Amino acid sequence: MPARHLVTLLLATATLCGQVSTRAGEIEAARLVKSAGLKPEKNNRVEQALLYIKESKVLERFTAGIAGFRLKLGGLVSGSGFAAGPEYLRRDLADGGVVVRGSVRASAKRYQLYDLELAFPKLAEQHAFVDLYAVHRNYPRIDYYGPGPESRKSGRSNFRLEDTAYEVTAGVKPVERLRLGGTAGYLAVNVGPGGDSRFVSTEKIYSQAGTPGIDQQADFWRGGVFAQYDWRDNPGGPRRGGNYLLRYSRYSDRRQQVQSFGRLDLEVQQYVPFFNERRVIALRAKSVLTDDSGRRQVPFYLQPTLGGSEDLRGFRPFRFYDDHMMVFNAEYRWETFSGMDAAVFADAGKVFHRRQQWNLKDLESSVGFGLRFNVQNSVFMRIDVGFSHEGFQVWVKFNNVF
Amino acid sequence: MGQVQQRVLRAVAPLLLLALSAAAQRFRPDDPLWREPRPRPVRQAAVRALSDYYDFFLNTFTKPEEKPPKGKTIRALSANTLGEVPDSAWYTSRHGRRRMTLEELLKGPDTGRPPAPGTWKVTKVKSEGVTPGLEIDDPLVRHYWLKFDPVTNPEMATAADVIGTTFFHALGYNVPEYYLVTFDRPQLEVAPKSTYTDALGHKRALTERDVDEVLFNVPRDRDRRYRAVASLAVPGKGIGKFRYHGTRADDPNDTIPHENRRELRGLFLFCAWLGHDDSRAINTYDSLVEEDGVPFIKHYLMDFGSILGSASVKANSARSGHERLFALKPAVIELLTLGLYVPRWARARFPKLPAGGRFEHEIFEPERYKTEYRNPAFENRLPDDCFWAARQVMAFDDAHIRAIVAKGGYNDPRSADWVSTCLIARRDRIGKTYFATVLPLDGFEVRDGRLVFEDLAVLYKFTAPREYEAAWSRFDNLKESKTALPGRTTLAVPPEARQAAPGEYFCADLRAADRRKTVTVYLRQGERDIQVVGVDRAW
Repeated sequence: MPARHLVTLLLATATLCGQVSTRAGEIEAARLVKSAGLKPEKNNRVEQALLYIKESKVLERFTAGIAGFRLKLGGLVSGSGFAAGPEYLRRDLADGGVVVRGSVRASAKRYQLYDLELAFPKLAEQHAFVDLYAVHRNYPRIDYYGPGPESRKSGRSNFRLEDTAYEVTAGVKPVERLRLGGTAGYLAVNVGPGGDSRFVSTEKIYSQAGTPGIDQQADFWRGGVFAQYDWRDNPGGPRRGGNYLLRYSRYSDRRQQVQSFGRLDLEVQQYVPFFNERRVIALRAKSVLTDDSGRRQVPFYLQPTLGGSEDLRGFRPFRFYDDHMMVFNAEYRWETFSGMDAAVFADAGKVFHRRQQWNLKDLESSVGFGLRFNVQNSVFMRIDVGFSHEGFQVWVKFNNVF
Repeated sequence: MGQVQQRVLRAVAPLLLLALSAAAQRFRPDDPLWREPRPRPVRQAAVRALSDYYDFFLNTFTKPEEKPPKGKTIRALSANTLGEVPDSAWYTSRHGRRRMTLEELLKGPDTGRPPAPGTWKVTKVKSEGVTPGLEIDDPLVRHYWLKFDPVTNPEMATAADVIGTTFFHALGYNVPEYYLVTFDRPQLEVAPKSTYTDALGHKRALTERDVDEVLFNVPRDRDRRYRAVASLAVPGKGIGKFRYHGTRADDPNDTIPHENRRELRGLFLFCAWLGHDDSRAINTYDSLVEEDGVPFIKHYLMDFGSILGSASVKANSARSGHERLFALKPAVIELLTLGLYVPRWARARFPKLPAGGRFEHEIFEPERYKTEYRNPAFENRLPDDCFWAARQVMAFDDAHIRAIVAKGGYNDPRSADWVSTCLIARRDRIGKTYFATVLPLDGFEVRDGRLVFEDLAVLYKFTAPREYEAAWSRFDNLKESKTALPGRTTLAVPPEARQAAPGEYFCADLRAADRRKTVTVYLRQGERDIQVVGVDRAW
């Protein structure tokens, strides 16, 4: 150590020893000691990585993609298996006034979906919206157990469903929470042999008489109206409020007219909170009624169905088909911690052939329990286990059931 | 600091530590210290962002704070010998030490600089995240952040921000200036060359439409005006947040681990009182400021929009303040009992007052209060830290509380009344709880040859007047040892002390019925009179 430094050191020490006889000196001495070891303040690598992810919006960019392209997971029909594919999504056009979206998705079971959407969600100061949508689906192994509520589990077959739809939806929001609108579009359907070799193909064991449309499919003009009043507090994970939907659609068989029909969808959701919304009774009643006007028939591939992760959770997907359907779901949900709710549920429902059977007789039922995982109160994943007289089903879904 | 100086200091440091230990003595001539010495200049301080996810995981699944050996405690290191917190870059004694006038209380940190009337230039839009907001420059080119209420709860978050700022300022903390404002849409104008960053980080020119989009989700008052809280930019250069544990490596003045600072440990109680369950690093702010020609780092608390019954974008969950965001045991209990076990907090009653959010006092238990996740400083709190804080909470009388709540600008008087009622009841619960954990004697002085003090539990009528026992000793300041003065058991200062030479120390161990709770008061004979220089509490 050079001599001048040593002198400095000794002087400093002598000064400090004098200073620390006071409390203020003690504090200053501690500061001086710290000054000797000052280092740039920085985060550790884990925190640096987390910060990079956040500030560079890595997750947002991953979910939003590059130049609008991103990976889209799921979104196909129940039973399709794990699905993924590229999606092009732009929400930033015209200051968010125009949304363009298109995707190509396929699953491990070779289900395919191609769709394209152009939406104007914020017209008239967010009081009106228009949505143009086109989709082609190719689902090679949709289950079919035969017509009606008496179909047997052992009657399982499968068919390929291919359809292409073009649809325009326009509507207004005259007051907050209320949406009124109409739809018009075109639907072309093709049904073919099922691709699941474990089960027989539908057309081999079911006939046109009981399964209308199995021999020949139709193309449809489709139009309708809808009204929705949604006063749920948080649609992603509601704890109070309700959602009421009424939709009427008319399907016109543009070739033979024999498969033309009308379809009425009714749905009521109600959420009854208690214990400061830490407990919720969630109720849903849903019914689909069709109007086949005498000799006309609703093709089986457009019939309402029951069974699966969204309605009768103790039964396999598409377990029941018929012209009409009704289902009731009741869930008791309780918060276990901020990020997870648990639930026990009961489902009851039936498909039926005549509208006179729109009653509570002969309902199929299932019960079960589930876990709901949420981020900022919106459910992003659920695990439901449903039990019925046909066994049990485990569902892992990346959506909220209702 | 030059490299040579650094080297010298590194060499001096061990010697200095040796000198410090050699100079060990209980009291120094300048005790009790009421103001820390001028800070050492901070020439460079890194701008350091904190990850809130990291903060959550770190504090939820680890314990980053310094923990004492089993059976020991770590007393707060930032308190003076009386147990008070000296003024510093962290804290300034205000209402707790000397009662502020109502006018001073209401003024809070404000320097009378709300946004000036005229056109406000919008420089930035925050449409993502928890709380949408705007950044503006007023006609005097002062920069403000505008924050709003959720549509479901008009006035809730903005009132909480203003009320919280006023209370935390009076409690001694550095806080920004917040002003309640109302404005019409035409008053806003996009500033030239302002940019908008979308959710993906893409930048483009900011448009009037972007401002509209934020305002679509903002409630309007009866006159169709928007209400906001305008936060004036904090002076100095922002360098990020402070953590509630450890110290900043580049701040020479930051020598005490934050978890061992009394003002941060005691903050627990203020947060419990005001329902600030969101008290974590993300709601702090460090600024490199220059005062009296010395640049140093000043520490702020900010963002009080989610205190009281507010969760900023909605009313608080009933869980708030009672359970952490994640806690394994209660989660397992709730899961396994199918929700049939209903915690007490879930049954709390809240009036339907949207502006009040969810705030209550009936089931409030201050010692069981929980922030969203562990706060290291709060975890290290001891009864004497809580006593220090409880005494400050009790310093607000009913009129103070009602006046500060009125500053929140509630239009519905029932909201103001409810919030005030809750704060008054919670204040009393705090006093009753913490004045029972230690012997709550305070305000010591020697008057007419007697040691006098106030028993705060008696003063606030939490307990009946009681008798005290004193045991006097001579105190060796260097050896830190006591020698009993037999027979000296009254509050009268013994003759040995009155006749002692300047610089001699004496102490009195005071007890009431509960003999575990002791207050030791230290006296020092000065040149002219005898002074109280220290207070120790045992429990």
